[in-house]
Amino acid sequence: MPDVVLMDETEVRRALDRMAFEMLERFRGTEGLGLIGIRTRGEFMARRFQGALERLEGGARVPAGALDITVYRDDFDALQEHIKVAGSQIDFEIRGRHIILVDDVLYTGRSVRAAIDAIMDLGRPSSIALAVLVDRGHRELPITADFVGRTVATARAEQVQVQLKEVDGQDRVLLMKP
Amino acid sequence: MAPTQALTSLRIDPERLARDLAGLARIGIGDDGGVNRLAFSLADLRGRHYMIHLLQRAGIAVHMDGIGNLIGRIAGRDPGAPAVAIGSHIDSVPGGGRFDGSVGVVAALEVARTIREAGTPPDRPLEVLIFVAEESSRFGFSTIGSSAMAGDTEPDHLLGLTDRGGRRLGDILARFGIDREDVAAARRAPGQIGHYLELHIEQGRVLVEEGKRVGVVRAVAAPCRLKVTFIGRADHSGATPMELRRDALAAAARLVAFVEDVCRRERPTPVVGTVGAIEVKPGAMNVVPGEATVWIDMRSTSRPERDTVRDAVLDAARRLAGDRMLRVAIETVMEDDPVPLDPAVCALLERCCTARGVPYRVMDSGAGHDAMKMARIARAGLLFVPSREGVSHNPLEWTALPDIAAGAQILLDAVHALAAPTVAAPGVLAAPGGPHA
Repeated sequence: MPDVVLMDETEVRRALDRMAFEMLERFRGTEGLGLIGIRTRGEFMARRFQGALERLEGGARVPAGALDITVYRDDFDALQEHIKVAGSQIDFEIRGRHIILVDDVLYTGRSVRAAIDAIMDLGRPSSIALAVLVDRGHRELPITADFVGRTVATARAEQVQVQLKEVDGQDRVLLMKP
Repeated sequence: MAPTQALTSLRIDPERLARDLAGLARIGIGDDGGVNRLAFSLADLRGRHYMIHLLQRAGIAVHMDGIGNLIGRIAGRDPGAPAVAIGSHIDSVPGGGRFDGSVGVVAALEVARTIREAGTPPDRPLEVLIFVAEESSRFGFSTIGSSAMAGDTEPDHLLGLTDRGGRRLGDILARFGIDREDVAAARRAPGQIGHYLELHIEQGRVLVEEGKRVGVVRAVAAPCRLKVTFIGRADHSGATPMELRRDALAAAARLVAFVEDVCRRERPTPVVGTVGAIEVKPGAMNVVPGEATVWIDMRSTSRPERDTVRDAVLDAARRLAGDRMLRVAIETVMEDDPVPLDPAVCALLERCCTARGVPYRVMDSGAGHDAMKMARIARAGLLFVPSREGVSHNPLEWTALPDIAAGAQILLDAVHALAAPTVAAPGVLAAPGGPHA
């Protein structure tokens, strides 16, 4: 089966822009906000939100960082890949901030659970909200996103792949059939 | 020669330090308030993740070396100058305290951060070192990270260390993409790090008893560790008359008592001896013990005194075995030399205490620390702050914040004097020679 393009470059851009507006609306500006993207693609989405928010709010500074959740994953012992110890790069204080956690795809919710634990260990934020480009369902934990690019009904056997220019050379979202 | 005015106008921020320390303590904390961050455990890795975050927030670049030590570095105006390094460890014993090692790591961060915030780069590079596996709890080998950095132990020996679950350190490091060459490369050449300073809790009660706030450590006692196994015969506890027994545990028990007796004798330099672990086989109430192993830890700042005690213990072991027709197997698990710390650094630390009006005493350390390994490649100094009731390696371990703050301030004063020689106290850096020149 050929892959289905769920979102093309324009649709990805529009979704991210809309989500940035929603963030401003929800938080009434950028005061006290901090973006944390889950590596790898969440990091670049967070940077894009950072750019969008700063542009929209003219001169505001919104800190953005990258989170490596490896040592918080619930399947840590079974991981085969090399563990990066210095994989996170968050150079702002989490304590007292409204954190927007950013990931590309929301699926079981396990990555988000790991990320929340990681963030809480680094400091006590005022709140944590979740922004994802695609919510594909099949949650295994009681987790829901606050900002969603697109909700897609999928089968478990299918894969959703978000591609971003920074990593993949182009912006699009694919639904890959088994 | 020694000026007594305060050496720097910089001040550490005690509240920030306390907050960072509390944040670290939360990671791996147990229900009893004890800290469980065994080397390379998830909690240890998460603690490192936390420290990396704090360093990054302070604008201090951080990387991992070939054994897993974390190194945060602030560039100096003279990039080629030997670095001034400060650090300690965050791994813990099982059910340990929240201050052991952590105090030194967080204080090192606070010192580096304070200097960085002052805006003027130090003359010499500044390094914050977070050593891996200082505690011997997991691999039966202490100060693994600083040993690798000092090139004190062969990489193959380190990689071959095995924990109780049978996991090799080499296999654990492989998960981080670390191989033998990386471990060898973790070694720092003499001259790269000019000075190494460490703040640590005393873990004894000398400072508390004397009402001192800071200890300036002159020498670190080193352990000699023996594993002594008596081998007799396992027999039925009811059917074997007393005179026919070859009871291994009865001999081991007498050796335990002997270690205490011999170490209690008066000596010019004290030797402390402990049997902290014993293993009995087959270990059943109705079986005469056929095999008994004791692990003996003897420490002193005097190698000759410690050797005398060791020889006496070995004689006693052989005599006890002979008396009971047992075989005895003796293994030297560890035999390190006591380490004198750098006299010029000690003098600087004393001057800093005097300048701040901090009550201090010069003392020896009975416990091993990363500083004793770093002393091989750098002029090393070690500062103690009091442990309440001398309790350590225990959830009840406690050091009062004002004491930690005082120690951290002395650390800052000394580091500032060393890293910015233009304002250093005269004589500190000028002294050539010494064991590490």
